[in-house]
Amino acid sequence: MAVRPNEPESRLRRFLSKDFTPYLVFSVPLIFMVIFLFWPLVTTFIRAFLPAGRHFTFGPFSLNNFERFATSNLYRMSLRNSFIVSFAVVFCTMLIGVPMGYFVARVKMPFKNLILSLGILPVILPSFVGAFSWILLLGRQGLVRQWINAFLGLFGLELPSIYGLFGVIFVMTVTYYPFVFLLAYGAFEAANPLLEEAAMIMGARRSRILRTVTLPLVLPSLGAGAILVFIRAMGNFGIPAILGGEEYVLPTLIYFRVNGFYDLNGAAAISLVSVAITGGALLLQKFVISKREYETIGASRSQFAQHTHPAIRIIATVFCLLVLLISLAPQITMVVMSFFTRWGRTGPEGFTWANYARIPEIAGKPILNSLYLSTTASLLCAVLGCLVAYITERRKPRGALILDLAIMAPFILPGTVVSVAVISAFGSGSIFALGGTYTIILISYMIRRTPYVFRSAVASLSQLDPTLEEASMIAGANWLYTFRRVSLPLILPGIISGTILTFATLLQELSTTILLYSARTRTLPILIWGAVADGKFGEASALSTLLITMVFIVVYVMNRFLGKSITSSFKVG
Amino acid sequence: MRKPFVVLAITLLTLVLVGGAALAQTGSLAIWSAASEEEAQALVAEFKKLYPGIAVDLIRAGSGELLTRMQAEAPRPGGDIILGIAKESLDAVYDLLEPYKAANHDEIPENLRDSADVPRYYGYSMPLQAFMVNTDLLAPEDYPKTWKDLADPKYKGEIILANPALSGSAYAQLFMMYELYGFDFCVEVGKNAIFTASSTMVPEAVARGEYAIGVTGEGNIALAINDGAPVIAIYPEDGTGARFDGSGILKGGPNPENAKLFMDFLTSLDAYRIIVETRQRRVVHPDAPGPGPLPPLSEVVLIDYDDAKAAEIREDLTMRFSDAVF
Repeated sequence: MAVRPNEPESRLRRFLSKDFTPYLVFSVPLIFMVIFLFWPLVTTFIRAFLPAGRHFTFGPFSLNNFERFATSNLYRMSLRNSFIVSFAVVFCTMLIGVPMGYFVARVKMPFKNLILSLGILPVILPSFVGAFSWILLLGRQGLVRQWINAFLGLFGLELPSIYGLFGVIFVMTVTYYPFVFLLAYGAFEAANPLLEEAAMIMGARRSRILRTVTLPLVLPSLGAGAILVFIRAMGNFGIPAILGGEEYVLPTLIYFRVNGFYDLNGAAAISLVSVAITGGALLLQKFVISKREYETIGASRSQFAQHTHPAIRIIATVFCLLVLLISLAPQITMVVMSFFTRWGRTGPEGFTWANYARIPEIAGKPILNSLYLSTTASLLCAVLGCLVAYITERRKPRGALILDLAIMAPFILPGTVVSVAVISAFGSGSIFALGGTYTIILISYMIRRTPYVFRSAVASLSQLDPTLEEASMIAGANWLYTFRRVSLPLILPGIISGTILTFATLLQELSTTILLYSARTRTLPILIWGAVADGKFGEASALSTLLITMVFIVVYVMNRFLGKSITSSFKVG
Repeated sequence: MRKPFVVLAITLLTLVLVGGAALAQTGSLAIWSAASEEEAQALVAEFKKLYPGIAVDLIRAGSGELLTRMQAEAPRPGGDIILGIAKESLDAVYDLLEPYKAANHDEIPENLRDSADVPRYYGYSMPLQAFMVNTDLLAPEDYPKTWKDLADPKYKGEIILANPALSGSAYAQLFMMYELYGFDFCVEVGKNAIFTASSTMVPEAVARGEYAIGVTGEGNIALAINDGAPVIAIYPEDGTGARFDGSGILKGGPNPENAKLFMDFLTSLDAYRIIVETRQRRVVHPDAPGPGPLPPLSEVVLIDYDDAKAAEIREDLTMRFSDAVF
């Protein structure tokens, strides 16, 4: 301390020499979230306490919209059904997805890339098309129903009607199990084999290892999968709308308030109830997982010895193929139907190429639009979701839970409610007139889908040992360098699978798009919806087949191409 | 590891800019249509023969979604024309429609347009509601003849209806039954029936033999008959409501002058012929032909349909009905 330098200057210098990149990087997503995410949430929240109708004011507030849950049978039934459906679907998807993920990750079997790629297909068929196909197969005159009943008849049983809760739960299960399957697969693949080997050396039996070592390790990923399924099941409109019959759930009730009566405030109240339920489920999931935090991506890696016993290989292969066959039945139906003019009593009738011949004429622009919107939105979601996940998981700022809930909330707000909030904020009449543009669709896609990537990034981060990052920092790397060279490569597989899922689900998005699209921004699902509404199932099937094929190619190429880099990215050090 | 970052950043920037650049172009007539795609396309094609210079954008959605759009985007909607939605829905958004006296004003009967001197909407088609019966599943002596028959317990589980809360035509059916026989009767019919959210499911299900009886717009029955489905149209002997759906100009739309040209075209005999031919709808123009396999109006028992009352009690009636039946 020989020369005492100018005090303020040194403070300034110290201030300037601090590493600001994290703050700069974090501020972008936070600003986006404030503008596009909190605003729709806040208006929805306020609306819920306003008198029924469309008017938005700041009072007088009341609980009238909520009282309906006490006074109306319809509201009570919707609430009860939503509970039953969501929990049943989570349970059933776990039952299918977890073993399947385990088999594909740990059992030596053929066509793994193909199974992984096919496994994502159920979530990309627009759900109204899926539900419709199931009616063709399992409806009162359904082909497959007759076969199944002929078989069940031997035991004096009969398949329950596809119209009603059974149908809704069944179709949602075969649609949403990929979330559990893919996340479980990723976790089983990533879990550190040394731990299991250690248990084995100590003489534990397979079942004991599975129960006490493997399952706890993959629990965060299973939790993430379960919560994704829960939210999807809670928010899905297309399936209960077509198969629910008179069994209402909360999304159909909301649709009925908005599109039936333009009662935005009543719809907001119902949305709030559904957000609250999902919030509760999120808390429960956090509680279960936070008590069991394990880092599984350590500094050293080794490969798993895969099961090679013939019995388990046969069981695994048969199980996976069976699940794929059942869950892809609607897609298969669509492909078959796309070559016919109509579906008669005994199956498709009138072979034709005409459905495909029309595609270049009617679908050129919509195909490009769908690809453009889905790709851009999922990349933006990936960046945003990944950064926010990093903030909540690593920095653990105060209010991280609120941030977590806030980013998840729009995901469970029904598409209709989000779009109405977006239109009123950025529609033709507002200061930022974005009505009819690609941007307005991108914004609402981001609001609704960032949680996918966010969830999978959180799950990956919670498996990643922070000491790796600390080591990098101690060695002198700045934050950005550490994030780029250490954290990101390690969590990349999780982010990529989340982004692929986002891309796939955005390609089939209907409920937001239908309120926001203009002639220029028409997408493929809008076209499919129109064909179904006009009763042109051949054309709808051809377009759906095209959609499925497009996604399948993208996913398959990604799986092949990234399959190597996914495994190699685990081999750190 | 540097490269992927740069690539990602450049990709994103390009993608967003591409979207932004595409904003520059604008269409010069935007039609919001609840009518079927081929019908709307046929109308647009004919309109473009008259006015080749006008680029027409067609937005297709259900009438519920279109009404939501109208109300959310008011007072400066992105569309110019609302095409083919039920009269009672048009009445519900009456303030959002622009009054305009079309060139063919005098050819449209007064009870088939907005009754104001300068109407805000003109009739488009007459979606008469009729019973669609699958002839493979029911013998002729078992066909329902009247609304009253629908409450017969022998039809339990054989009737498919659209949800009156979600479908305009299904609400019209409910309102007709309510006006004829009262609320309790509606509940009896409701208990007999299965409900679907989408009104297009009804004719589909009956044509495929999922259900024996459906109530739907007569045009859907005509299309199914033309398609070779084993179905017939039965008009209730206790009467079906004389309803119509219509089209109008959106107030504050971007191209008001082109919208007027389109309304002039839409009320012409040529346009009505197209509507009859593409989707077998009955239209409001007295000189237009009747739809193919359906009977002329003289053989159909019509009853008055009180749109104003229907619109007024809609929320109350559908809520009460939903609470009682579901």
